[in-house]
This record gives sequence, C-alpha cells and structure tokens, in this order.
Amino acid sequence: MRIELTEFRQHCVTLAQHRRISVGDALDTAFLSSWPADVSSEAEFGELVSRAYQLWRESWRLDVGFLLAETTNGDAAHVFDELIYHLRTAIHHSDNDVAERLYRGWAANACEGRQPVSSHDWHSVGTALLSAFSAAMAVLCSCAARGRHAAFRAAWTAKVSDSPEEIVLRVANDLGMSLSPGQRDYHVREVTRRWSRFTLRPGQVAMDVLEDFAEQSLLSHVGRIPCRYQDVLDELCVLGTPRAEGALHLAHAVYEVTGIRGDDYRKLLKATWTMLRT
Amino acid sequence: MEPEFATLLQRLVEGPAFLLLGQATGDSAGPVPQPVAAGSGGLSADQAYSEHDRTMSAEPVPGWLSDAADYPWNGVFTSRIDSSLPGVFRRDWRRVVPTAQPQLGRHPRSATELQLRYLFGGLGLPEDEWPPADAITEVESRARAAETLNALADTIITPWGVLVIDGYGLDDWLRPQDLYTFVTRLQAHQAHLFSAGEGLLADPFIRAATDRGVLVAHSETFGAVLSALEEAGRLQRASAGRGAQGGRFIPVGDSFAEVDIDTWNRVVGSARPVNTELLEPFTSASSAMRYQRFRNFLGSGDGLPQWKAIASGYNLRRDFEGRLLQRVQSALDELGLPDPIIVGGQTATGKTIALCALALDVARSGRAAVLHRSVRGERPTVADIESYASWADQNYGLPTLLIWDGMVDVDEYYGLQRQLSALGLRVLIVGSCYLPSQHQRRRNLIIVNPALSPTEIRGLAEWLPSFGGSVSDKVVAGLDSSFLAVLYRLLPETEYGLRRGLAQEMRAAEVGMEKLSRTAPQAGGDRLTAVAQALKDAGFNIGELRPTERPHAELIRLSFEERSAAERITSMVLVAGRRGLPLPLELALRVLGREGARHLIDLVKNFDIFRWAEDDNGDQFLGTRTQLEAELLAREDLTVRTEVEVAIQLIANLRPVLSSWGGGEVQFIADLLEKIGPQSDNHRFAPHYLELAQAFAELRQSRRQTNHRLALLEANLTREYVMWAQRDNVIGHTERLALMRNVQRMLEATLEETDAPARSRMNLLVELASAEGAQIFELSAHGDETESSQVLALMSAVTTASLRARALDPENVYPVDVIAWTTRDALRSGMVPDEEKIDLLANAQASLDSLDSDVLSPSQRAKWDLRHVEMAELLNDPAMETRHLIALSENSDPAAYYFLAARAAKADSPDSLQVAVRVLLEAPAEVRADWRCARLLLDLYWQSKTGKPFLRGEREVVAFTADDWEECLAVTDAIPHAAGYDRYRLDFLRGLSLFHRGHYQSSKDVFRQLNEESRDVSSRVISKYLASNPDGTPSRYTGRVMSVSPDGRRGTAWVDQLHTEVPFIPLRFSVSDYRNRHEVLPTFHIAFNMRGAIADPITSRSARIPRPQANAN
Repeated sequence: MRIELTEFRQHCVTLAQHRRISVGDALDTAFLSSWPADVSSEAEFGELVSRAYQLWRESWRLDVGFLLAETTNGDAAHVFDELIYHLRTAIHHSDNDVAERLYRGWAANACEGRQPVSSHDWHSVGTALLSAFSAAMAVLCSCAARGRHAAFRAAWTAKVSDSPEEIVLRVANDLGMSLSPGQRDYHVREVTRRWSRFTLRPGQVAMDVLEDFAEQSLLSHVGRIPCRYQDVLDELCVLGTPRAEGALHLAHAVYEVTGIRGDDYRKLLKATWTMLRT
Repeated sequence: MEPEFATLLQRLVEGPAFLLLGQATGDSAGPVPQPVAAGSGGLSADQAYSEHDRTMSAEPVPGWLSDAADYPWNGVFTSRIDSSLPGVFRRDWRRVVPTAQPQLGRHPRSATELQLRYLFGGLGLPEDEWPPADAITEVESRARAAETLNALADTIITPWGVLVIDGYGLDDWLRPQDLYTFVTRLQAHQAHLFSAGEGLLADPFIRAATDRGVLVAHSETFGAVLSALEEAGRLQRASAGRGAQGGRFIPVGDSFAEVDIDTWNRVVGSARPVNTELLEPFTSASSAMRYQRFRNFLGSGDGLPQWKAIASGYNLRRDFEGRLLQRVQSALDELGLPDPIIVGGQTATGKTIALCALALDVARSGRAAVLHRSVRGERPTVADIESYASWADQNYGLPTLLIWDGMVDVDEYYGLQRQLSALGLRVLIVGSCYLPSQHQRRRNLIIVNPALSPTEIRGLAEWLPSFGGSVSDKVVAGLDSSFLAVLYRLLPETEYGLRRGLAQEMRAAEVGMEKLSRTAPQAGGDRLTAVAQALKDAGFNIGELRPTERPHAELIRLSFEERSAAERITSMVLVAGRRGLPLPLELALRVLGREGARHLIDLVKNFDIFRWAEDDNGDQFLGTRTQLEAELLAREDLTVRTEVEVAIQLIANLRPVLSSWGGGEVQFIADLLEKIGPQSDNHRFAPHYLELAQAFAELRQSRRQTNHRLALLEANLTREYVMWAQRDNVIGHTERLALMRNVQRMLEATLEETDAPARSRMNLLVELASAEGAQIFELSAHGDETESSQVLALMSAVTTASLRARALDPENVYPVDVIAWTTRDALRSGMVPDEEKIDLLANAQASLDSLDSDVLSPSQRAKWDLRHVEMAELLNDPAMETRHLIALSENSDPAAYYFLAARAAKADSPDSLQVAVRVLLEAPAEVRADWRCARLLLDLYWQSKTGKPFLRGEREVVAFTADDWEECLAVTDAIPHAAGYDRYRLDFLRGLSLFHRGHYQSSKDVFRQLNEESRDVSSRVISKYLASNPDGTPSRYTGRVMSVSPDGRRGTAWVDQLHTEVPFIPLRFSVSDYRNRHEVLPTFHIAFNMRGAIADPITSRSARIPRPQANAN
C-alpha cells in the first residue's frame, strides 16, 4: 500500500497547491501525517473508510463539490464519490441492504472474487480503496489545473467564499491576525456551533451574523491586565453589578492600547471610565 | 497580546530580522575559554578551543535555540566560536554561510542563503578567521567584532529591522559595555533582549540601555514569545520572512515541481522565479479590506511588483497584453532561437503591470519556467539564468521565459539573448524600454499607446466600480493611461468614505478623469505638462506631497548642501525616481550622515511621496511612488546643477562590493549615468561630465581600489566631455590631450591590476581604444604634422586594443566600430603617409567585413552600415591606386595583398574569385599569416567553391568531391597562426573537411577544441552544414541507439556507414521513442555545429540544395 499512499499524498498536496494559487488559501493537509499507512483487518478498513469519507465529503466538501461539477460524469472522481458514500453507509449503518450489497461486491472484486478474510485480504481491499481515492484525486488535480483561467478561479473562489472557514479567515484578516490551521478550525467550530442554534430574525443577513460570531470568537481570547481584576472592579465601583463586565472589557482595552502599568494605568482607566459614563 | 510584544511583532512583520546569539548554552557545556586564560591549566589556546568544540558538538541543542533557529532570519551574528553552530541553523529551505569576515558581501540579508557571522572567529573557518589565541589577537578580534556590529547597526539592519538577542550572559565575550555601545546606535525599540534574568537586568549597562529605550528586555526566550504570538493568532512561523520556510514550487504541466535551494539561491540574485508564492491571490476579505488592498495596489506605484494584487485580478488589462501573450506563447512553442520581444512606451502606460501579469499567466500555464526581473538592481547575469534554464530544461523539459522589465536600451536585450543562445539554452526574453527610435523598431516590438482605447475605457467602466469607485459619464474616448497612475491620489482613503460618497473626494476623481480624458497623448514633456494641469484642475496639488515648506521658487535656487535633511532626502529620491530608479538605502544613509538618517523613518511614514521597499535578497531601497510623480515634482524643485551635485554626492559615498559586478550601489550609479550620461538622449548634463568623472577619480584615489565598472564610467565621461569641449572649445587642445592621456593610463592600469570578467575586459579595451582614438582626433584637428608619428603610434595601439577585445567577443560590433572611426579620423587628418594608409584601411575594411550583420541589433546594424559608407569614401584615396598596391606587394605588405585580392574578387570576370584566391595562396607565408588576409582567403575560397559566404545559413550542403575536401585541408594548412578570435572558423572548416575525408577521430579532436574556442559565438549550436555527397545532396545514414539520458535530451548513436558513434538528441527524433539501447533509428543526416557532428532527423527543414553557381566547380 506504500506506493498508493505516496501517490495519494502527492495528489493531496498538488490539489492543495492548486487551491492556494486559485483561491489564495491552501487546503489543510495536516491529516496526511496521521493517515492510515496500512490495513490488515476489517476494523482498520472501516477506519480508512471513515477517514476517506470525512475528507471527501466533509472537510473538503466544498472544493470537491466544485471540482466534481466541472468534471465528467463517470470519471474516476464521480465513481469514487458514489463508492465512498456506499462504503461508509454500509459500514456504519447496518440497515441499508443496497449499500451492504455494493460493499460486499466491491470488496470481493478487490480480493479476486472472494470475501476478505485474512489480513492479506484486507490489505488488498485497503489498497484498492486508496488506489480509487488516489485516482479520484488525480482527476480533481487535473481539473484544478484549469485555475490558469481567471474565470475558473473566480468561480472556485465564489464557491468557497461563504463557508464558515472563509468567513473566519476574512474576519481574521480584518483583525490583522494570522491563524494556524488548528486555530482556524477551533473558531470555525465555534461559529458553526453557534450558527446551528441560531434562528435568523427578519431583516438579518446570514453573512453579517456569521461575521459577528467570527469576530466575537476571535476576540474572545484576551491577554491579562497589569493588576488583579478585583482591583479594577473595586476602583471603578462596579463590583457585583451588571456594569462589571463592561468595566473589565474597558480595562483590557486600555492596557492593550496603551501598555502602561501601575498607578498611571489606574488613573487613566478611571478617567476613561468616568468620561465614557458622562 | 502584551503591548511590549507589539513593537516586536510589527518589526518582525515589516522589516528584516536579525539574531544576535550569545555564548550561553546551558549548564553542562561551561563558558567559552577566554583566550588570555587559555594557557592556564596546562592547555594552549588551541587545545582549550578544541576541547570546547568537542564538548559543544556533543551537547544536544537546547530547545530554546532550536526554536530560534527555525525562524527565517535575515542574518545571524554570534559570539560563539564552535563549529557545530551552522548545523543548528541548516534547513532544507536554507543554506548557511558561516564567516568571520566583516565585509558585507553579496545579499547580506538573504533568508535562504543565511550569513552566520562569527564576531570573534569560528573554529570551523579558515585559519585567518579563527578565534584569538592571545591577548594581542584578542584586541584585534574585538576591533573586528565592533566593526561588524557597526555595519549591522548602520547598514544591514535598516531603520525598519529588528534585532533579537538571546543566549546572552554577563560572561559573554561580547561585554555588556560593548553591547551597550552597539545598541545605542540603533533606533528605539529595535533591539529586544530575551531570556533576561534579574542578574542580567541588574548590570548597569543593560539597565542604562533599557532605560534609554534602545533595548527592550523580556524574561522569556524568543521561542516562547513566538509561541505566545502564534497562540494569539498574531504570527505564523510558516509565513514569516515572506514564507522563506515554504517550498519553492513552480507549475509544470498540471502539477508542480520544487526548485532546489541551490538553484534558487543561484538565480534569485539575477531574477525571481515566478513560483506559487507569487501566483497566490489575496485571501478572502471584507469589502473594506478589499478596497484598502486595491487602493494600496494603486498607490504602490513603481516599487516592487504587487504580485498578490495582480494575481487577484486588481489590474486593468490593456489591449496590447493579449497580443503580447500570444506572441510569447508562439515563440515558446517554436524550437528555433528567438529574438527578444520588446514592450516599448512612455512613462505611466502600464508596461510594468502588464509584464507582471504576463509572468503570472505564463507561469500558471505550466508550459514554461518563468523568471522576472524588475527595474531595480543589476543586470541578470548569464551564468545565473543558465543555471535555472538548465535545471528547468534538463529536469522537466521546460523552456524558460525571462521577463526583464529593465527599461534599458533594446541592444541590451539582444546582447543577453545572443549570449544565452550561444549556450544552446531555450530562453525567451521579454523586455521593456522607452519608445525606441525608428531604426530600432522591428516586428518583435510591441508599442504601448498612452491613450486608452474604447475597449479599454469600457473595461475601466466595469473595473473601477467593482472596487466601489465610479466612472464619470463625461469621459471622452481619448482617456490617457496616466489616469491609472494618478487614480490613487483621487480616490478616498477608506471604503467608508467611498460609501458615504464624500462629495469633494468623489468629485476629484470624476473631474480628474474628465480632465485627463482631454489630455493629448503626446510625446515627452507636453504630455506630462498636461497631466500635471489635469491634476491641478482636479484640486490636487502634487507639491503638497513634498516635506518642505519652502515654495518651489525658493527651493529650486538652493544647492544640495544648502537644503535641509528632509529636502536633501527628497532631492536624492527625485533624481533617481524621475528616471525610474530606486535609491539603495545604505547609499542614501551614507550621504545623509547619522543626523540626517534619523529623519528618514518619519519622512517615509508621513509623506506619501516616498516608498520604502525590500527585494527578494533583502536589499533595501527608497523611491517615489511612481516615476510620473517624481518627474512632476522634480521639474519644480531641481535644476541640472542640483542634480549634478546629488550625483556627485552619491558617487563620493559609494561603497563597491569586492566582487566583479561591484554590488547594488555600483549598479545603481551605472544605471543613473546611463540615463543622464553620454549614452542617454539627454545632453543637458554634457557640461558636467568632467565633474562627474572627477568624482569617480576621487573615489578611486581615496579608496586606493579600482572597480573596473567605475573606471569604465570615469573614462567614458571624460572622453565624452572632451568631445563636447572640442565642439565649443571650452578647454584648450593641450588640456584635452592631457585628459585623454590620463584616461589611457588609468585604463591600462585597470586592465593590468583588476581581475575583471571577460565581458568587462572587452568593454575596457574598447574604451581604451576609444581614448586613444580621441587623441588621434585631437591631434588631427590640431593639424601639426610633426605629430604624425604620434598618430601612427596611437593607431597601432587602437588596433592592438581592438583585436584584444575581439578575442574576448568575436561578434561584438564595438571594437570594429572603434577601428573604423579612428581610421577615418586619422586618414582625414592628412597626417598619415601613403604607405601607412593602406595598412590602416586594410585593418578597418577587414574588421567591418568580418562581422555577420545578421547577429547585430537594429541600432548596431545602422552603425555598421554607416561605417561601410565612410570606408567606401576613404577607399577612393589616391594611395589606393593599383600601381601603388602592386609596388607594396612586392615588399610582402599584407595590407596591399588584402586589397589586391579583394579587388580581384570583385573584377567583372567569371574566374575573379579563383584569381583572388590564387593571389593569396601564392603570397608569402607572412602575408597568409596576417589575420586580414587569412580571413579573406578563407571567405574567398569558400565563396569560389560554393557561391555562398562561409558559415551563413543553416543545414547547408555542398557539392564537394574528395579532392575538394583535400583542397579545403590544404587551404587551412596554408593559413598559419590565424588570428585568435578568428581561429574557430578555420578549425570548423578543418573539422568538417577531416570528417568528409573519413578521418573521424581527427575530426572529433578538432571539434573538441573548437567547442571551447567558440563559447562566445552566438551561432555555436546551430547546425550550419550537413554531411554531403559530391552531387550536393545530403548524405543519409542508418544506425542505432547506444545511450540515452533519462530526460531524452542527450544520447549517442552508432552510425553504420562510419563505424563510429556520434551524439544525438532523442527528443528531436521523437517525443517518446528511441530511448532504448540498440533501438534502430530512422534514416538520418549528420549535421555540424561548433560542437561537432550530430545525428540530425530528416525533416522538411533539412538541406537546402544550393543553386548552381557560375563559378562553382
């Protein structure tokens, strides 16, 4: 499976590069370092299917969806799209006979006509899946090369621009932030979580709401202030009151902007609080 | 984020970043042995150091150092001495160059070729760079360390850079007082000390530095702070330093290929490979951010290419770009050796952005490896381009597209193309220039119209609104392209302002557009005057951009010295900027001095006319936003006198690098003088050439060091001044002669003492010949016949220098031109005796005839034609009468034989050529050994046998019998000791003849030598002849593959008929076949280029059968 794995990794990296030069942002390929290197049992095959499904239909779904729409029906990418759906359904849902039959038939093809039993059989099945995935990625790479045309790049960018990932990236850019893939995933999860519980009210625009969520999440990590928070609340006479939260926000902002400490900080904070409240 | 990290972060993002690494490593390693104490404990200094080195090599690298080493530094300075340190910094994406030399060298801020500078010497370095071994050498080493740190503070770090100090302790060889002295030379908040414990902070020098604000202390390690910044989402190491850590990938077909770090470091000094980093557009952005980016793109002007903006489609496409792309794609598809494609036009017509867009379009296609060179810096060097083009061709079969936005003379592009073609490289050059003169215009020139076409205006109407702007309804059809250059000044600063529709700002843009639509697109000053007026009408006063409160009328009367620091900075930037040149930052700082330099950051921040930029090698430049704005301002603030004063100051403060090209500052001065000096169209500076030359002379004398490029400039300026002075008799004859004699002596000394490369030596020799020629002109104009012996001696010197120059570049027109005009001047003087005239004329005529005009650029061809006309007039001299020539020939005068043979060849008879050949063959040996007669004999002989010039055309066949080939060999034997530069022609004929006589090994030996001799010949790899039969048809051969390289670009084939192997290029036979040993090849020809015989597939291009000639045997 080593050759297929090497090819698969290369295709993923190539596709990520194409996306980077078309859309301005690469696909996250950190998963490659922990991708299953071999399969020797049904459980490991199930794990491979889950990982492949997650990548193809979840993590990279927007890009895969866009590129699939640009390729020809019946090519290796479309074939794989169907295959992974059925395999995952069959493995994780025992009540789908159609999927189950397709799974068994495909696995038998990979094992010279018999159902996989031994570790060698499962290795063959795993190799076949990875080979099919690699072929699908090759088709997508070939399609992505059309990014040499401006119209294609514009269409791709438009496709992904309204995703939570891009919204978080956009707001981070506005805030002058530079996020690691892990940091971005965290904020995307936050935004997605809040959005899933949110009901849009009349007059509200979904994009604006999502951007607000992103802004709040990105700004939720604040640094420390140069004194105990209780001292701030005490100084400003807001301990135990609803105004305490706002006072602490102000305390953080004053320190972030001025960087001053000690008595000078306390005096400025108090003066600013007083001015704002009059 | 902690506020004290804010300044650190800003500098890490904006400016170059340097690490000063102390000797603290951890507890177990122990301190570095002090040199004066090394003798104690029974160990010598060497022994103590070796022990220390072994210990350090065995120690694991501490985590904080490993973290710090990961960062893409622009330079590392260290007080450590161990040899294991380079390994700590070495990475796949970075080469490490350890040194203890204080000199800067090339690219002192490169992140991919990192200079690791040992302040006190290093144990893994050459002996003269080792750490000190006793008290005396310790003092010397401290002085060198101080010199290195001063260079860092004054030059390398720049006002925008940051210095990170880590691993520093009180027992460091760099003592706290030395560190204090050093950091006080830096800007506030520029130096950051990490791992600063209480003990360190308590030191009085460290405390004083922090109190003064020149040192910011942090208790954490730098690695910890970086992690904190990453956690706060403020910085990602992977994208720091312009993503130096990332791979260097270029598109190849539908995939990508990585450029190895050595090839990258080699080529990036000459041109930037267009890799995925440049192809990457902006990430997703809010409309406000998008507008900011768009406005910044418009505002960036002529600085570094705004790749992201162009990759994001922010540029307005002009009509000519489509034609340009088509021509480039066609040229890349052809197999032949192309001419460069030139884009010509006035200032502010969109050439620079169009060339960037072209680079991205072609790179994306994956069909070529693309290099881009912008206006700044040195010329691309052949060796650098060759390394990259070879890498692309050998590994991926890609041709290379070199886009050189040099705005230089068209001849420069032709010259470089010729040099690259001579190496057999598949490189296409696209260049830029101002509008060339009529005689320079050829079909591969694309002229950019300053007026926007109706199609472009319609495009504008869609493009500007997509960024929130609006287009006036009143725009007429003739909108000038300068509108795009000034649009930045007319748009509101924020998108918010745009949306609010602030009346005045919107009106300015619309009025500006309307006014510029009536700007007549005329040449030169009129157009710019109209542009300036249009801006004024739009309510925009460009004068307000200048950092001075003095009105123009007052400022323009002030000398450079009388101006304030801010005004002097402006003057320098405008002098360079109006010519499209960015000013090297270090040079500007040196002219300003330390006091003036303190103004620099504030000026750049507060006055929008200035731009600061850094290129891919970390070199820093100052410039104006656009050349257009610089020109408009310069007209108001600068006179010719002031500009000369600026130029003299810049020359006086040059610091040439110890390399053959002299560094970026030398290149800048050379570029500036190209624009204001004798080679420019601008002769307003002619009265000041001598002052500029004297500035070079003073620099040379004060530094006691001659840079060959500066010597050439000095000589050329002096000579051109003398020519100008002659016309108006500004200085007398004696003084003019004295100046040229000094120049002659200076050039002779430069040639002897400097180690200039071949091309530079050729230029110096041509200038030397010109200086001698200028003396001839001076003497001949003076008309004193007693000086005729001097004239003859000078002509002899001219010939010697010119022949030496031709030996370095046989196809260069300039040495030939010098011989021609000096001969003309000498003969017109009437001071040359008749018996000498013939010799001089023979030199000149033979030189002119020896050039293949097909390899000349348009302007060179025009000059060559002019010299022929002059020569024809001179040949009417009575001394040239036949009876005189015959008399001279009886004394074995080669010049006489030359002309007799040349005349015989032109006689109106069927056997004129044979007669001419006989004249030379029957001449004494010393006549045939003369380079003029030797060349003429070869040319006439070939012409008589084939009816065609020798070595012209491609894949020619000749109807030669065995006797004819023997005769060729006899002719080559009859020409002893042929002129050095011309030897390759003789050897080619010998090699060709030997092959046809069946002496294949001897033929190979001759071509092996010829391969070296012909390195500078542009047609070196062109197949000139095919092995042919006596009936004039090309011979056909059969054979099989013996060896093939994996890329299919090289191989050898066995030839059945010859019983020997010859080289062949499998790809020329088939894209995919003939890769296996013993595979049978289709019938082929054998072609000959300067490298020898090569199997050549039979195609429709093969063999042109010669027309029957009346004189052919």
